[in-house]
Amino acid sequence: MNTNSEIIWKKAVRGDQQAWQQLYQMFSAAVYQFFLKNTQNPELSMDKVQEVFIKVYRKRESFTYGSLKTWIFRIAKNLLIDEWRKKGKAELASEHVADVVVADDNVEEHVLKELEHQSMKLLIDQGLEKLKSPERMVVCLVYLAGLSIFELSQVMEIPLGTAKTRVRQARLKLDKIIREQLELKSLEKSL
Amino acid sequence: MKCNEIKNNIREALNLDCIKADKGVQTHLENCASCKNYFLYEEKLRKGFAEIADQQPPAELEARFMTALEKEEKKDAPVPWFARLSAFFNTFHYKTAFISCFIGFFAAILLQQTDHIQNTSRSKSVSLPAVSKSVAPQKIQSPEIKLSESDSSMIALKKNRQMVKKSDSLQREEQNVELKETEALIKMPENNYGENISTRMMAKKESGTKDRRAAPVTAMFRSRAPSASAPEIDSFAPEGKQQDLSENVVPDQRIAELEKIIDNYNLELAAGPLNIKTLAVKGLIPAEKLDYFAPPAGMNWFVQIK
Repeated sequence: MNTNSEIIWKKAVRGDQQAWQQLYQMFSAAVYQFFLKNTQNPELSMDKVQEVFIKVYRKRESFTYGSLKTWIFRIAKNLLIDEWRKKGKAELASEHVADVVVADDNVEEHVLKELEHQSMKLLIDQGLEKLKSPERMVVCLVYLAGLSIFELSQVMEIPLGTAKTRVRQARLKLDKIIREQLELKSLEKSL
Repeated sequence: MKCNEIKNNIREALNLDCIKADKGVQTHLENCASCKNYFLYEEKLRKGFAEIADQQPPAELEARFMTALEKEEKKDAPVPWFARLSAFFNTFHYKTAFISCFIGFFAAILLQQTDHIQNTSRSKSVSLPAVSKSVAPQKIQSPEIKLSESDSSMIALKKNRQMVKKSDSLQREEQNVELKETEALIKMPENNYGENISTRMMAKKESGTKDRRAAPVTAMFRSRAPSASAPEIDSFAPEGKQQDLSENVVPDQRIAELEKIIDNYNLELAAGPLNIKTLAVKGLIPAEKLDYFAPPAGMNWFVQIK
């Protein structure tokens, strides 16, 4: 936990309302987007964000060391999995063996050129929708929440090697989806 | 470094700045178009993700959260001790148990008090006169004191002791305690008090007066004899009988004062020598008057019971 968030956290534990507000402002956007990209439901995402921070408040005494961000996103991940279970997607919550994706990480020049004319945000949104739920969750935790691979392994409670493999597989899939979209757009333009 | 390895590093890097800072990677990127393109693509992708992450949730969410937080804080607020205690006793079982204990406790105290009163009322060791409940000892009308001699003073002593009547159990109890203490002090010592002249006075009950004293009538005298032996005491004439006291009786106003003290405090004295010092220790005679009340050398105060 960096110094700034550590100071804010200590104040918040002591009951400082303003500190809680600051903590909310630091993490709420990433947590909201995490839920939004994984559920595609803004109302549900808002409820889940509130639930995350209330849980953080209730369990504040139990957090003594480590990364605050990791802890918050662990709570968020667990709530997301609970939501999947409620919707009958229990199989998604189980340990997922990613499809073997042939490593094709070549980015052609024309793809890069096309990227300049397209909104990467839109491409990412479209790419995330096409990913499977566990892969989407991994990508969101690493690239949206900004967790390192090591932190991902702690949140997912998986070994570091497994975390690396899952990130690689998810990213290769996402990259493939994005490249295909770019190539399609490039082709449309050429036509 | 192989391209796959570099691309992996680029993909897994937390921050692309550390990739740029790596000189080995930089050199490779300058020379490898594929890795360079991949690095540029990764930069754009990360920028896209950052823009998504920066999108704030709706403003109402913050207000909802702060409201929910306030509710949580109120739940956590410490409950006053009386509210907790009240909630505790409001549970039925604890209510019943508490009330039962409460009743039992006071019943035990009440029974104990009753037993104590019954025990003390049964005590008949000494018959005591009625004594008021006030702090100061109640002054009882003292019997008339006059000089006389009695042959059967010892018998009279015993009879008088038995003549006391109780009027009130509580008064008796207080009087008993007080008199027992005094009697212990004034008990007949067995020392030889030396030789001597006897003077005697006798306290007599005033006729018609309700005898409220537990103590029998006492007589005081100064004895010439070595000890107040029974024969000497017997030599004094009983009530009504006249005896020539000229030999033994020495008028002494202190005797009257001592008799007054005895009457005022309603002392129950045993027949025999009277030690003035014990009266002083008990506070019945002021210490400064000890010398005043001390009998003349070679004499002693004696108490005769009639």
